[in-house]
Amino acid sequence: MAQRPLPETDADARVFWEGAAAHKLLVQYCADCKHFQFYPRSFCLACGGAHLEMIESTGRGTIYSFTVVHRGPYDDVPAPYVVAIVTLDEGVRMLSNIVGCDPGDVRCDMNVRVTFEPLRDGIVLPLFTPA
Amino acid sequence: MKVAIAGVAESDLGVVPNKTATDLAAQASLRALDDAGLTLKEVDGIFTAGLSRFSANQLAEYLGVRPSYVDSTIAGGASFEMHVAHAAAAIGAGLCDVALIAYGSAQRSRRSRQLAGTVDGGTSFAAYEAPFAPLVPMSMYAMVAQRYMHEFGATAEDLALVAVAAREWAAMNPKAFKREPLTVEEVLTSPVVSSPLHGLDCCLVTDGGGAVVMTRTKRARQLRRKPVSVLGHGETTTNDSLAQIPHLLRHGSVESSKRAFEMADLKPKDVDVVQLYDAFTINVLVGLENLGFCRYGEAKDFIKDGRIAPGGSFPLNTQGGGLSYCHPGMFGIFLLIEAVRQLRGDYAREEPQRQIKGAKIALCHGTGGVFSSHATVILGTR
Repeated sequence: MAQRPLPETDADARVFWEGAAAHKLLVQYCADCKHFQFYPRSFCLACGGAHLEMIESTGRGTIYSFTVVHRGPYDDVPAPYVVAIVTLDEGVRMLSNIVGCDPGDVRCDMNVRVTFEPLRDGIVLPLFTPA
Repeated sequence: MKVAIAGVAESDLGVVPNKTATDLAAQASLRALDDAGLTLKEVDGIFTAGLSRFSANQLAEYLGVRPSYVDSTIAGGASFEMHVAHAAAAIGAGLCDVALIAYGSAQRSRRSRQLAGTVDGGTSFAAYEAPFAPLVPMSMYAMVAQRYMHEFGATAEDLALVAVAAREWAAMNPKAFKREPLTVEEVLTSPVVSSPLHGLDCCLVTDGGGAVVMTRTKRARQLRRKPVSVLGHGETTTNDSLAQIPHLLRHGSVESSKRAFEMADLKPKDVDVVQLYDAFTINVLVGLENLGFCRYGEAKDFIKDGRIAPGGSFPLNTQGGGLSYCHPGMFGIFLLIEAVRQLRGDYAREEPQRQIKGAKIALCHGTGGVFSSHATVILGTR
């Protein structure tokens, strides 16, 4: 069986994954209109501006939705495991895993905070755990 | 310009060993042209997707056609509803006159489907989502179902009813892959794959293909079959990766159906038969709401008491759907085929139990990706 894929870390993703390796969850912020966006792009979706910065998220958010995967395709992620869409306090959404609790205890709208787990080849994954 | 569907057909369906995707698309194409009373010589537009990287080239070469217009728009299950819209535009602009829309897949026999899907390089999925190991697309539909149950108090039983109704329709369809009776209990005791979805909440994995032939309504009237008019169409694309969908329960189908209804000058209550892509049971519940057939949160009650099952007042997926009839990967073409057959009254004589009597207006709604792309087509006998 295969291992979970490593992320592509070139282009705009490089800064995000370098941040994760340093245990910082980075989101993109528009200095002109104060809009947050995920994932990072070359321009601001709200105002079209190009004065964008990667700033550290509070790392707190809520679970928009989740699923417990019972038949996993990768042998380094034993089932059952939780895949979730997390809404960060900055208002942006990202995919992640919920760890540090029984999958059966996860609920929509539950408060979570970021935690970091090394994967391999220097990649560190930003995961979430109940807050 | 008024355009119509002049012919439709499936290829062999189910388990079809030793055929390529293109073999199946071509078989369906020849059958659909025969249904229309046309030949390959008259085809000057080819609309296809998913056969290979260069799908239109592949199909044109196989069929020996030199089309003046091709479109390989690929948007998952919504592709073929988009092709109808694009063919209508191309025919209207005089860029082609006989449009062949075709699809085929050998995904079952070739075992080409993977639980985790495939990771396309250079996408937001590859950069920010793939390492979290979602099943693609299943985990996304599961998260929509989870949120739906959370917000509206729907239950796994509500979802299971969709699969049971599909099976009841399939029981009457000799071409359906699964025809034996199915109970809610059996759906609920099938293993959960990505919660809250069970194995039997998921569409089939089969081989198969389908084809639709379109031309000007004026020309279609001279042909073999009663033409079915394309009255309206609309499409919307909102996202590609999982977490980028603007809202888990309010989809692009709101706009796609609004555009289609406006073009057709019709309202949801005017529709006699609905073909709604049921990749997973949840698709039907959120689809009914986003297409305007009921309000948000009401679909779980809307489908009760056999309303979408045979004999119910809201005939839906009348061939058994992707859940029980066939599902060769991108089901959108089969929505069109069944809608046309219902509107022509094809079943009236031989299989009257399957015929929606007096059906004049049909709505087909294709969904692609992870509720990413939406395309609605409204067909009618007028």
